[in-house]
Amino acid sequence: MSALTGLFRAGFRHQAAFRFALVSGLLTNTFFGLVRTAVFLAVYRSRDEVSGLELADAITYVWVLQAVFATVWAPWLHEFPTRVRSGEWTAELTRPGAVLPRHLAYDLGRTAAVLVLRAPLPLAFAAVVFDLHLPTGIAGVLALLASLALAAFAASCLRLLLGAIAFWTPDFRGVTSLLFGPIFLVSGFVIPVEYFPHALRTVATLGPLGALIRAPVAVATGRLVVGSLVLQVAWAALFALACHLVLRRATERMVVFGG
Amino acid sequence: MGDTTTRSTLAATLPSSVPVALVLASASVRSFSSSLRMNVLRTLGASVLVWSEALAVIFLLTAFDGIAGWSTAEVLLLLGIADAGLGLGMLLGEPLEPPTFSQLLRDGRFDQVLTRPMSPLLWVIVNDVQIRNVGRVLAGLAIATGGAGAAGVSLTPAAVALVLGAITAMATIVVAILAIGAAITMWTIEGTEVLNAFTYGGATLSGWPLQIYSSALRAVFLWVVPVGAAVYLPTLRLLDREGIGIANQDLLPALPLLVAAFCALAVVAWKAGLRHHTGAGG
Amino acid sequence: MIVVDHLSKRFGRRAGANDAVDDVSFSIGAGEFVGYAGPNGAGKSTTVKMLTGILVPTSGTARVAGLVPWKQRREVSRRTSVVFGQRTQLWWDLPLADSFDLLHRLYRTSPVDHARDLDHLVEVLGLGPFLRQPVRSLSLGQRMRAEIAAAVLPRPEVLFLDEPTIGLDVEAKASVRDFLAERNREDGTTILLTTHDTDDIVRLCRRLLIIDHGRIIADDSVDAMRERFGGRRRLVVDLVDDVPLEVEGATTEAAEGHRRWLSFSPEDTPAPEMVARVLRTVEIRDLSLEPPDLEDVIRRVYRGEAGDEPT
Repeated sequence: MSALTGLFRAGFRHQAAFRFALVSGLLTNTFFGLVRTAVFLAVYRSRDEVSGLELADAITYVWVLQAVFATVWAPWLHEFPTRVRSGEWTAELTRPGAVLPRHLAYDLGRTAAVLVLRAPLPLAFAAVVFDLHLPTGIAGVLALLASLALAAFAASCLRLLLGAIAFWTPDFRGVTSLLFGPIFLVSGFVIPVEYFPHALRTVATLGPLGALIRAPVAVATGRLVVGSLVLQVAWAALFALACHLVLRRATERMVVFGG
Repeated sequence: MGDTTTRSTLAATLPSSVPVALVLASASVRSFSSSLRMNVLRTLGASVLVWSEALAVIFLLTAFDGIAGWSTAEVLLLLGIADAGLGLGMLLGEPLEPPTFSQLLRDGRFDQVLTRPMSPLLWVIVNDVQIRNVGRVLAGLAIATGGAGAAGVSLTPAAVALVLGAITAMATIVVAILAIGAAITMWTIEGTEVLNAFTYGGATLSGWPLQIYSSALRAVFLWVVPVGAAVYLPTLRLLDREGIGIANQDLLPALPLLVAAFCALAVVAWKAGLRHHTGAGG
Repeated sequence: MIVVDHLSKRFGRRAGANDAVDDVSFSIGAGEFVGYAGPNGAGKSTTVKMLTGILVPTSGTARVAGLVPWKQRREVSRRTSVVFGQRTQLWWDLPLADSFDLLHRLYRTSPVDHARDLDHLVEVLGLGPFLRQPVRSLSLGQRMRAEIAAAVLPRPEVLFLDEPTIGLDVEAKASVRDFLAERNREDGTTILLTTHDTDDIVRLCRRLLIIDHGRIIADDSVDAMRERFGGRRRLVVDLVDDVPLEVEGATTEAAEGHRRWLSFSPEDTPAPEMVARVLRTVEIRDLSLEPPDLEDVIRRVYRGEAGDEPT
């Protein structure tokens, strides 16, 4: 366990070192948040509620999205597959202990750094300037933190799964770039999934990608808090299982075909 | 040692009258084909990303029945132009983006560029043309065409010229933004993400009708970094719509001036960057 | 060909910050082959970058082929070439022949001259076998020969070489050196060679500039510098009989069979006088006077150990 916390901390420090990138990332996030906020202010001008969301819910969505954006679309997204391709990653297999927990511990450390350093400021800014729908009680805040942690875990797993494509093809960047658009849309990174047509909305809500941003926003705005958390826990477990299976197949392949 | 052994494959295909910038660009196209499968996939990926964005706009505006009096089709026209322009700008300007250009500075390749009898800006651009952005351009064009058709814009030569003009203006501004970013990178060495707010962010912003923004935000993207003007003003003319405040069809003739002024600013910044350039270590 | 006048470059804006190059002046005539040595960070590369227009100096001026490099960068780049040993000026993904073709188009050299020059270079540098290979697949030795060919193809009047032999094996070094010597001799190309490898300087340069902490601390012919900063020199003597050897003004450093290594200070006893003394003292079979090791000479120059202030 202490090895894993060590890796988590190392990952945190690794990502926290990019201070310059941090500040510029904050500014960019805030800018995108302002543009998206303007869109929702405009569409809600003559309406109170659409698809179960009020203006405050939509704007809360915008700023929670800006806060967690970099935890999913992490700047180090391509590091793991690149190391796999170069053969550098093979060294991981020679170290003691299971590979997956170590990989996730380090990656979650980096994600935590991004979350802790990049999320509070845009959220605080938005809470002051706009009318947000955020939890007020202790229980609500704890639920939101738990939901954000689960989302970060799911995101870490998703990155590993995307990166693992590199075990099978040197064209991994091509394949992942083809997947980005659909993942972006379905997980609700462009607009809240509540506005989707019915069938797609159901898939996006109950499916694995709903754990990334839909669930934390729902928890933040106090809609379906328990249901969302339960779904997230279930998907986090399935994500972890998928990672385990994929890594096992990949390492078997490496042993057979050489690194 | 005859002529035949030393002659290059380029010489065999391109006569010497072709401008050197084009020859260099064609050389960078060759590296696209050197990992063809991945690059084709990434080109498609760039396209799919734009289509996903358009789909989200369709979903949202269907749920809300338009935005600020604009129909879904009309907004798609804006979005298509903005994305095609961004794609075209990135096609040329991507090597100026902070991570790439910062690497160019740090490993000393930029020093090498400066020892060439050619504009370093042009050199950096043509040496690394990023073909995969064609995916974004084509998707943008298709969406703009579809949006225009659904909005009832008839396909006259004037309409086509307006769309292409808007895309060119947008692309020019994107390259200018990236050149300013590259100039800043000559100071900071470490790349900065801030410029993304103006390139990608500028495209996102101009994909919506400008009247939804605060007057301050509007002013910045009309007068300072005129990506808003580049997309919005031609679209107003195409749809024959009222704009907001001074941002109206009457302002359209001023668009070339706005773009030129911003390019001039970029040139000044780039020159200052070159004067400041500190070279790679050692 | 190169005139440098009170040239300084300071990185960072604070006054008193370290000057990478501090008030450097020298001039190099057409056809000279000059070595430029100094420890890491002494200002060698910074000087070369100013002379090629890559960097703008903080103060002072310089002319290369009559032009101010950072003001007339393009014109200067047409008439000069630079080779940075650690970096490539070739197109990584393209066959080597394509790089040469691109340079031909870029520098607008006449097709006839280009074809003739290229054929000649391919022959003397042995580029033929890998002309069709992408540059990224070349070995360091192959690539460096290609880099040098690329640098001389535009027929530069001045050639700046920054560590052109770094990392090369003995054979590749020799072929690069032979080529550079020929180029300087036959075409009269002015060459400024920055290097850590004193062998490069010994074999190629007649004149040596030494820079340390941004200042030129020595500028003289290689021979004169050896004489002035050489310190103790060594004489190797093979005796007819294995007898003890004592010579006034010399100390025996080592003895092995009939061979003796003597060291002496040329300031107290000039070399011809020392040879004469040995001949007077003992019967010998052979004798050789070793030139002062240049690396040792340069080290002494850094330390300011011997010799007068350079002029």
